[in-house]
Amino acid sequence: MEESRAIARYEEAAALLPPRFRRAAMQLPDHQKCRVEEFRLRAPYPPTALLEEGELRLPYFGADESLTPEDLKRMLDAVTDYSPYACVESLRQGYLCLRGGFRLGVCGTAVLRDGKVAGLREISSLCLRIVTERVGLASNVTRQLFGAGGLESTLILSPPGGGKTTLLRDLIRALSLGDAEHAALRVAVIDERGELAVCAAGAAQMSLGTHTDILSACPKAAGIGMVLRAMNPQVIAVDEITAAEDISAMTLAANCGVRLLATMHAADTDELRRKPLWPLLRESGVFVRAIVIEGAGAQRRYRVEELS
Amino acid sequence: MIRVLGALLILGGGGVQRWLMLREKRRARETLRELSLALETLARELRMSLAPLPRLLRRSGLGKTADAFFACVMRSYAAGGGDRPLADCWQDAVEELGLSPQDANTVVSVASAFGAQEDELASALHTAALSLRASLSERQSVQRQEEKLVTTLCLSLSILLTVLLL
Repeated sequence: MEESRAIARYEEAAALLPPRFRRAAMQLPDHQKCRVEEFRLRAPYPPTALLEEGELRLPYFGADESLTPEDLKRMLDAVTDYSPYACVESLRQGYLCLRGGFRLGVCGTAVLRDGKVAGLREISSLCLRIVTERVGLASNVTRQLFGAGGLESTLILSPPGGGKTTLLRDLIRALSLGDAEHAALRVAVIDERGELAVCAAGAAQMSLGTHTDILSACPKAAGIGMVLRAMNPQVIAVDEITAAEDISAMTLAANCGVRLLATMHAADTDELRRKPLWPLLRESGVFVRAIVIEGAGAQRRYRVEELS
Repeated sequence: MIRVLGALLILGGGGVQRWLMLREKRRARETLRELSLALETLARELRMSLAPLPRLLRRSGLGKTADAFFACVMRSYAAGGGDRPLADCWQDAVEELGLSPQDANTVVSVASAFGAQEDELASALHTAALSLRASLSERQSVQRQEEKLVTTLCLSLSILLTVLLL
């Protein structure tokens, strides 16, 4: 069931590729289709599919198997409905959220205005990410995050590509829906890079639960203040803590009684304690627990630890 | 009696011919007026709402001809499943408008700005609207003369045929 859903998602993503490469993408055997994480398109090279073990060339049988800048421009035109101005803010940051829950990374020549990136031109490569949604993934860890006072603020840790965002997404969904033991919580998501909700045309393409408010494309530090003032959340979720100001904003939210969920790159709590942001995190005392993701693929395990 | 009836028919035919010719010219002027207004409205809405182009083209109420033109563009685009460039769909729809080659080129030129930023697209729409309006003004300035010419032509031809018949 899981495999057939992954194949359907792959084929949905393949339909977004430049027309002449679609058939090549469909030629991939099913056992590989279901494991593809991304399509990588770089001019002037053949397109590839990214699997856990590395990039795989699509089985193209035409005369010219290399992508041209026109192919990339045409794909970008099609996914933006010939209206790049309508998504200029996210394009400026190098990505687009597409209908169906896909995310397109864009590279090209930056257009600078007053020293700031105003947009991208001469597109040279695209990365079409098949965002995965694993409903029920967090069901085993969710109850371990509750203490005597309710939900404890939790940090999700794993190396890059370890599945932090996928777990956080399902955790948000689970908390927002609630269950027999715990009532549904109002969750506010600050989706700075559009990876959690993948909002396209104002609608979240991923299922984040019925009590979730999503603030997209907004810097975390500013976004936390905004939802705190406007949405009265019980939980605030953010992806990838990378800056001191994010921790300051989270401390402010925690002082208002809001619980926090966040992710951070670290293989385990030992590596977390070696991070430059750790002293700030420890001092803030915001996060009480950590979920450490170990292993990869079907072998992934989730370990909940106390942070002290 | 038959000759008189024939003469009346010829004169009536001349009148109908005049009406048809003038109606064609009136229709061409109306198309130019509607299209120039529609393109100008698109440019204005684009600047105000920054809505994606297909959403702007799907709107109606810009006049019968303009609505039919935009509907034709979007029908063709939807039929291509997004594979057919919007510019090609636009160009095909322009051909069905029956504009003069110069005016048709003006409308087709807008398609070169599809996929560009809003400034460029709005500017292309505005330029095309201005050009169509100029063409309309030109036609309106010779409208009286054209009407006289058509009337004279149809009337004199039908009188000539009537005289020959009688």
